[in-house]
Amino acid sequence: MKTFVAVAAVATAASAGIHFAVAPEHFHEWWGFGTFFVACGVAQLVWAAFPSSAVIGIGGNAALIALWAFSRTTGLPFGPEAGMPEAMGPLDVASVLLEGAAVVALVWNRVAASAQSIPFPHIQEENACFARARATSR
Amino acid sequence: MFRTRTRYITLIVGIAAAVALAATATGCGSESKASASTQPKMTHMSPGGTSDAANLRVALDNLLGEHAALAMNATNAGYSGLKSFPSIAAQLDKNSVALSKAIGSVYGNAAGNTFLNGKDMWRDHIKFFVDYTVALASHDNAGQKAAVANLGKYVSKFGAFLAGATGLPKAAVQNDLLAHVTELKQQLDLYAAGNYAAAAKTYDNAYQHMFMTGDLLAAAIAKQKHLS
Repeated sequence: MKTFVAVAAVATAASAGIHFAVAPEHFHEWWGFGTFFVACGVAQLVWAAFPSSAVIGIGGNAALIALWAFSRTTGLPFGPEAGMPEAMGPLDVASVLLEGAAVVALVWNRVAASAQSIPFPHIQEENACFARARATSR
Repeated sequence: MFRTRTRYITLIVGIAAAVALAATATGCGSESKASASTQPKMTHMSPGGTSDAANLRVALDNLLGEHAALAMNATNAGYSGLKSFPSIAAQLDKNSVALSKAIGSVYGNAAGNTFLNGKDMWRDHIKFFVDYTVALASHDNAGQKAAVANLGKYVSKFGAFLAGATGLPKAAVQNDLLAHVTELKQQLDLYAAGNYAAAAKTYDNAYQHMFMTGDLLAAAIAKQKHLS
């Protein structure tokens, strides 16, 4: 179980590294974009260091993927070139793939955890038998 | 427990730092909006094997040619009071941003920003042309003279900036810029006078002239940066 979380943390940390690397060029484009990339990197790094909340990990990375998809198809509604879709580059694709891997790993982890907590049918049946036996013996 | 946690955090920060360094070292940053439309990569080999110097020349020629065309379209539309003016002006600014990124990719982001936003630099010269257009349309002679004076400052200051960056003789760059500014002004004057045939001819000359400018700059940068 810890392996999935570790995979998600490493992928998120790597994605944070990419966000830090491209922040300077986005500052050149517009200070708002640069600030956003730094904030993203910090948030991802903090989560990767303390990956206690899967919901934040899944939600945060999924939100970044959605934002990326929006910026590449419709274009962001603000900034110096508002409404103009951005082109894909190797680094942003790599970052999105890492975020996707983190989301998949975390979702998988939750699914596996919940599957383990489901009681098997025959155990439920046995429990019911015991309950009936106890009731009859009284 | 504490030591394990510290090691883990160090590992995570190390991974982020390593990826950041690798991404910076590869130099293949995310594509910009401008690059999708008008900014070819200036320092990478093209898939067809064209040289860096040739890519640079084509990139600058295209961007500068587009600049001249959009600038003249904008001033003509502005003079005529057409509703298309804001859209053309917006497209012209995208071209300006693309040009600044092209310069930034060679000389660094700070130089790219100075190129674009510095006093009496690129965006200012477009603003001076808008000022001239407005003054011409309203028959404001003083306004026209003020705009022309500002364009003169642009030729001097921006020419010195480009010459300093590329190593070209200052006078050569300033003369080239003066020719560009003169052609754009002349084209608008002819258009405003209703001499559309001469305006169209000047439009074409101004467009072609940008390829000379692009070639001049590209050759200097290629020599300076040892591009083959």
